[in-house]
Amino acid sequence: MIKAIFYKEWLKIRWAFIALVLASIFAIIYICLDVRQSFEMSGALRNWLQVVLRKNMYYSAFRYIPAVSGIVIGIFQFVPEVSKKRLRLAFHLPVDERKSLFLMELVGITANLIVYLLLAIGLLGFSRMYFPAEIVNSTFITILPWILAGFVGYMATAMIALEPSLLLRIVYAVVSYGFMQLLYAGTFLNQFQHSIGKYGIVTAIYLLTVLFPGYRFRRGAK
Amino acid sequence: MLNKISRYAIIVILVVVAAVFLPRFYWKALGKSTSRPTVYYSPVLDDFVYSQTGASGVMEYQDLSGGSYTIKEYQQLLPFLYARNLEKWGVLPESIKGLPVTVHFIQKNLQYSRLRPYELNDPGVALYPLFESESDFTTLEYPNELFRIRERMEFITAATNTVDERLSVLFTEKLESLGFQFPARMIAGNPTNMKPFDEGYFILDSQNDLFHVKMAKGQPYCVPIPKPADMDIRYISVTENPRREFYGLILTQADEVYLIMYDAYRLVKLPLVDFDPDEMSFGLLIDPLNSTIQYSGKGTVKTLVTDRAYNVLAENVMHWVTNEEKAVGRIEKYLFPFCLNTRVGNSRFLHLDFEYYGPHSLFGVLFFLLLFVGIKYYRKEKIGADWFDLVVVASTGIYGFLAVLLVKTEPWD
Repeated sequence: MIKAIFYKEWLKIRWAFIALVLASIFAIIYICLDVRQSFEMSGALRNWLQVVLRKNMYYSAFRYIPAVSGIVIGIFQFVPEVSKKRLRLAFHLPVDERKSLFLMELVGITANLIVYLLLAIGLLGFSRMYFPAEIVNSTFITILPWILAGFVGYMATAMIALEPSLLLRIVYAVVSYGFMQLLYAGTFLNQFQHSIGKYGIVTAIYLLTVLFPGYRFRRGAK
Repeated sequence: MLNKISRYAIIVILVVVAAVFLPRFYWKALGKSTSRPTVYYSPVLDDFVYSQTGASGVMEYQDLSGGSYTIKEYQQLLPFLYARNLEKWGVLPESIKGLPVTVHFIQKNLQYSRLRPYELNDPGVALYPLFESESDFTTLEYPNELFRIRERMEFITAATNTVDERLSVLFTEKLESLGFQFPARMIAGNPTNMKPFDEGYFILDSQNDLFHVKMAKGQPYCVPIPKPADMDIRYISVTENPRREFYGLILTQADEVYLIMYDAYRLVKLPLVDFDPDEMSFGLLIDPLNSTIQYSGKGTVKTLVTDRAYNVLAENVMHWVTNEEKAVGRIEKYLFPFCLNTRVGNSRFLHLDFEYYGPHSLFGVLFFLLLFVGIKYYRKEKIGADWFDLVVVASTGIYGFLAVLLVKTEPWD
């Protein structure tokens, strides 16, 4: 039964997932080429100084990709379930409703995680060829809040899709947008160095949010 | 049970986001500009003068005995600061207190150094360019490598992204011969070529000993700087200035400020009292006759005028009404029980810091708690099963109140 749920989720998101993986690979190649060109044109030192003195993010193209990935996977996973109220069928399976919601979420989180790992490993891997360790570390710290924003985008999409009431959909959307704004508040590198853990905890709390709208959906709340 | 927990997870997120944004919106909607006095010492009056936005929103220029001036009269009281304007008006005196002056002379003998709270915690990458300080050229050229200090001083060549062993060994051995203990605790310099000359870096080793490190004709110039053993350095600000009086400022953990003098690296303690570097901006203005030390924040601006040896000649304290002291600030403390700050004054990092607004906020909490119970009563809803909603409102006030009302409870299975 659990295997079947995984399979059903995979069927829903596979094309979106494959498209996101390709887009991520494309984005990393784009950032690589951008850096390569910049090194070629103005030399390695000038590029290093752009990071060290100006605190520039040579990877700013990375910024919104995780959030887009999260929202796209969320839409592909949950919108078909709520249109024509298909999810109600799943709630009649001999699997606990909360368990099936968590399993759905697990599939979405895993799909996003694969995309983010691909992006992060690609970015950090090629950064190591061009930049010293200090800069690569700062790159890692700087992309972390964007990755959290990806997970928040995904879980917020799930919440909003499942929620039957328009008012609460708006509340969830506004609040999640507000929290993502905080994760995107950085204007230069390393700014989340000391606080990323706290933002991580709030993001972890998001993992639980899918159940309540799911419960309301099953009850047919208004 | 899990569904209930899920509802509270949503409520927690609402409270977190509201505690960041509602106080912000409150200030955006109701905040007023504060009128801070700008204080200077006038060598013409031998007394302090200040400018401040008046009640009508017009800038007012005054002295301490109540005299008021037009902007042109005011600037004539401050001939060192406004020398160029005075010259343009043809009123620059030939001498000030017996000191013959020209615009050129004044400009050569003016220096301004600052220390602002946000400098104290600045995200950065611990790599630094070491300039050639005795270059044959007039402009400073960036070197081909950046250095780091871990278990040794390492220079990394940018073009190849590899360590330059020759330079690394040269500087590491020189530092070790002077007793430098790796790694470095602090590396302070002015890593830009937009400065008249280069003085390299002031580096604190792992034993809290201070060293001056620069490159002269390709060779290491390293000097241990004698300092009191109990001096715990918090921050160093280096500014190369053609006056070559001091290399920069040292801020200690005890909130003292020292100048590192060119004269044998003597440390001169500035006569500050009740200086709080996390809340106050510090400025040191040196003109051809005096030095003016000013630190301001939290509604107070303190100005000290000293002689060349930094002995206090006169001092002045002025106050302004801060936003926190105004009605809008006091009401905030009743309305909100706490807030979450993502930006704090002494840091350029992003935070998520809890700030408790004090016991006044209990009134707000109590108000929203009663309002919540009233609404429940009016709607003829029982609280019983959702007693935790009361805990949420009691602990988070307006934030929890909004959250539990928006995300209403459900009839649970």
